[in-house]
Amino acid sequence: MANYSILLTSGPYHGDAALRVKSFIDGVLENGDTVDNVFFYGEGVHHCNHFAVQSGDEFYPYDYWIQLFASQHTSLLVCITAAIKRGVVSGDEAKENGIDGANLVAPFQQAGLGEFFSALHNCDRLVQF
Amino acid sequence: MASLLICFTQTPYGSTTAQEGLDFALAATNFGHAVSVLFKDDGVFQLVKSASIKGVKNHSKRLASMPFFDIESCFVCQISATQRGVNVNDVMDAIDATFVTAAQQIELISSSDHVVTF
Repeated sequence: MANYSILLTSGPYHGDAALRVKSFIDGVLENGDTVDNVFFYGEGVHHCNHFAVQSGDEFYPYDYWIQLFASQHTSLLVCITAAIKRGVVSGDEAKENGIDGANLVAPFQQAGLGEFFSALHNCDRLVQF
Repeated sequence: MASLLICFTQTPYGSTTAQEGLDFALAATNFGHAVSVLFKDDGVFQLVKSASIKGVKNHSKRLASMPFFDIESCFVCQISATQRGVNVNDVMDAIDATFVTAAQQIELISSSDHVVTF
């Protein structure tokens, strides 16, 4: 049984990347393998924006991450540096900076590269989308 | 401890990808991973020393700090460099780069635990 870490550096509407990562993770789980964590980095942090609204019948990645967490308890780690400069902020930062709303909420959790690299020690495979 | 090969494929200032890729590489060694870097495609332009502009992080200066983060294995795709007119003399002095063929890159990829691309 292999343990996977997923590195997401593409945004939610970057071509079909979000659909491919969904298919990949579903396949990993079907095989009986596990996904330890998903690390949202670079443009990937836009996946975690709670203010993004579903449009028509398009695949809505946000819901997928919520479902993944609910069923697998996969850690959804969001790079704090990459997120705050793109306007994806938690309640704490919103308060600190006088911003009206927070768009980063549980089960997504803020993390640094350090947490990702520490978790990587327990992962057999790292796959980037 | 895992061995990571980090490929840089973008120009230094065309997007924030190069900057975030370098942040990624520098953090990895801090947390006990072995890192090799490979510059290919437009990534070879990152090796050319660039002037400082106010408000923009100087990418070549940051890149030159790699040895202080224990990133000593630095490879450059020979084909990408030749196609873009970047030769050995254009590479910053601070970087000790080894030019590699396609076959050598395959070897690098297969000998690494993980490969990521920025």
